[in-house]
Amino acid sequence: MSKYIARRLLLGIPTLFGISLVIFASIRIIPGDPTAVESDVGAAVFTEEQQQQLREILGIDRPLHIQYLEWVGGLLRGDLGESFVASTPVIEIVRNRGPVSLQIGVMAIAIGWLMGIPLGIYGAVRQNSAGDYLSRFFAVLLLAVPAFLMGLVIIIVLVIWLQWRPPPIYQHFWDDPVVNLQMTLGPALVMGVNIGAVFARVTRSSVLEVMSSEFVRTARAKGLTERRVLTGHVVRNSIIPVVTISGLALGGLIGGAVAVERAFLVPGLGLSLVTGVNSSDWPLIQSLVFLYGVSFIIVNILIDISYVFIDPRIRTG
Amino acid sequence: MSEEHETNGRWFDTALSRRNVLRGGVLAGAGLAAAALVGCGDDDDDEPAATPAAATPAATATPEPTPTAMAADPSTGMLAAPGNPKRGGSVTTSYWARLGNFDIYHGGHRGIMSQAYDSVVRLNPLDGLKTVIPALATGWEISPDGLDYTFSIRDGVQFHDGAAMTSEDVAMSLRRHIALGEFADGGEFAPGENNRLPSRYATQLDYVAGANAVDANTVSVKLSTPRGYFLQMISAPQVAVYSEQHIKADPIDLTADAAPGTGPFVFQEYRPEELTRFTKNPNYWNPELPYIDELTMLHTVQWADRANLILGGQAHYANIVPKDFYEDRESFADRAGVAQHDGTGASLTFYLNNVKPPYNDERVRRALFLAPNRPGLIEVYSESMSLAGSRWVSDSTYSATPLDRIQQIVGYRGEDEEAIATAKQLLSAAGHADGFDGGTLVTNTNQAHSEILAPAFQAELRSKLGVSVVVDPRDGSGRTDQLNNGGAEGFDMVLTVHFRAPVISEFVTGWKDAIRSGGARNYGNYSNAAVDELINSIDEELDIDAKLEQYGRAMDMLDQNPPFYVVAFTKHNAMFSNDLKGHMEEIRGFTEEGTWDLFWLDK
Repeated sequence: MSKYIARRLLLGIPTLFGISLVIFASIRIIPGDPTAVESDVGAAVFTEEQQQQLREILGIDRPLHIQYLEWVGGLLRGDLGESFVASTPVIEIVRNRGPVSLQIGVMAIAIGWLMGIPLGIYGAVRQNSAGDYLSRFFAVLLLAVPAFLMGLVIIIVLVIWLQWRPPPIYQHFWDDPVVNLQMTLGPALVMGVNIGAVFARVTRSSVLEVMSSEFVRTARAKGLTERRVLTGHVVRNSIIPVVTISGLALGGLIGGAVAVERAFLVPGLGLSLVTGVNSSDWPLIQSLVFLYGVSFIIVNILIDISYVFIDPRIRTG
Repeated sequence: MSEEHETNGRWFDTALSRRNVLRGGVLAGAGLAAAALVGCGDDDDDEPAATPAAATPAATATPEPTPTAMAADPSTGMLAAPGNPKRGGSVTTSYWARLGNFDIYHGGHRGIMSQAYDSVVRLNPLDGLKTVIPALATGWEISPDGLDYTFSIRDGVQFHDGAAMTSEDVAMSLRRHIALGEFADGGEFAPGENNRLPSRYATQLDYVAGANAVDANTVSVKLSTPRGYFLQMISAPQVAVYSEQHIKADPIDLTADAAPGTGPFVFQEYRPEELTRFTKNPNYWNPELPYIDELTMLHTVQWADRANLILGGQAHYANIVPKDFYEDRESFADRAGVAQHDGTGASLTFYLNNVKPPYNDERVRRALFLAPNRPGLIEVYSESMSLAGSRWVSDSTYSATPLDRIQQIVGYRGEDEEAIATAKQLLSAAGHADGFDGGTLVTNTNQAHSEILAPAFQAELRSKLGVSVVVDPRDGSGRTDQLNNGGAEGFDMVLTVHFRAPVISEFVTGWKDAIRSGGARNYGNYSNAAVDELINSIDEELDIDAKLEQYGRAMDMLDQNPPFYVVAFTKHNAMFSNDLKGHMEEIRGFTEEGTWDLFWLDK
């Protein structure tokens, strides 16, 4: 197992190298000069001379390969650079906002599991029943409605009808669990039901496939109850696709679901990235995107490891 | 004063020539009709330095706030909120700006910095920001030639760390702000060496020759040429006074940590892109203020979110919310109010590249000026944001042409067959009888810009002149990048809000940037020697009648040879919960982004 993990981590290195090159090059190709951005709308702007001065100070007048090597060198030391606009180390921004996105992501996956897997199993077991049609209908409906739209509607309903809005200032769960949940439950729920709809569909088709397997027929023939067949044989064998999708979804959610964060005013990494793109905040953009790459790799390694425990037939050697 | 200007009034520098030249006026506020304003009153040498303006409305009156009997004395800088303010509580505001860093010299946002830092003077919130009143200075003298300002510095002021403020703190802060390159250690400002960001304010104060502490209570500032608006330029929140000690420790860069200020609030917490939190300064030099114990300024980008925070009881104040909330204010009047006033003096402007064909031809620019239906464009855009039609300056400045007069001028009259015919003749003379390919119209991705105003302007140009442009929405820096690419191969047309004035009341400060040759915001490289000469003359002129005459001539020239197309100037709608008092929104003249030391909670 440890060899497997080590091998996967080593394989991740060229992936990360590729990500770093692509993101570094991309943000320097797209239009937008960091020195041209005003952070104070009402004040004077920089003159051309000052802009050149600023480029020197920010180090963006140096050759591209030097900039790249400096950035990568910083990454290896754990230094993600400093945001041009916020004048704050990127690592501090990640430290402040990363837990928010991570918590919401994990909650969303959990909600998705709690909703989607039972629904999917039910639909498969009661295939073509009224209940199955109803569950498929809601799954498709939840897939069709964008999560951020759901979020906006919820906020508007809360504000106008109940005159209540989730608190706008984030508190960690261990500091104030009530405020924390008031703020994170909304976006987690909205994204959770959206993901849960996907889980429901995938679970249903996976369960149907497994239920038609010979070993399931054998189990039934042995006289096992349907419940025992389901819980002992079917579910475990059909869960792998769901786990795979969970990993992909979690990796994306850690990066922050921008539109949902925007709807709920949650200070997550997604909004940070959008702000960074708007401001041509190169250190912020490239370091955050790199971190997303790292998180995707780690999450997928964890998913791959989990396969071993779910399905003993899978070996890591 | 010429008749055409008598119905416009804003203040003029009240300390100019040691007299109070008051331009009383009722400012646009919620539900108020634009009132006729006091005309050019006679100068009165005996008036005190700052007196609340007497309103002479033509329509509905705005009640003047009644300062509390106890403490309010604007002429000494000792302010107090009207009514019977209560003490205590925590106020949350929802604000568009983010702090950025702690150095106002390097772009630390002044609207947030101004809670913790003072300047020598400030604008009086009790009269709607019409007059300049003392703050860290108790008074000032101006030499007859307008070149020497002598400030008497207030005694007993402490920085937040307990250190006493001296005249040297003030002088050094001013020098640093002006970037004269002279610091206590004798070092020169050396770009590229151990510094981080150049000053954004240096070009605004390039006429200041020096600022020095004369003695323990006196600071002398010398100008190389007179400026009638100098005090407004250095009023809070434009300037922050830091301690000499902190400046000496790092003359170049105070961005990283909050240096102690003298302001009514003390920095407590800063979360980048999220919020800045302050607590009350118990040793503030005005013992009456502040009333609240804590102030939290949330960084909220979207306008509607700010309003929703107030309606949801999560915030008390937002200085800019969508126009919809202003129009629907009756529906939630039990919870909150909305007031309307000038914004930050910004305008919606289509910049043209004056060095790139065909816009380098004056006749083409004049044609583009004449043909579009300006009132129609304003009406279309006003679905999303309030605008005020004006002519080259913000409508509420003393130099603005009255609206009824503007509407008689060709190019401002709306659907005008005569103007369109003239425009076509001009295009024909310029070799574009059948119109031309106008290139790309860059805008930002703000929906009101990219999906309403830009397409409307595009349609006007196409239908009336046969000029075709392609609307190209770009995010933030992408659009700004275009503006900085104004050469012969650069942009064609850009819709932006960059034509504005640092001192709204003296709009020549904006002309210097955006219209004068070589100005920092003259992105289209407009160059007109006659206009330049007038701008310089207006900038240095101290006599108001002479200024107004020159403003008028300059506007005539700009109409004939325009650098860009100004649609209108923006209005802001500020929203506040009913329990928040002391915001003065009903009489506020414009979005100051200043100190909220008069806020109090009525509960």
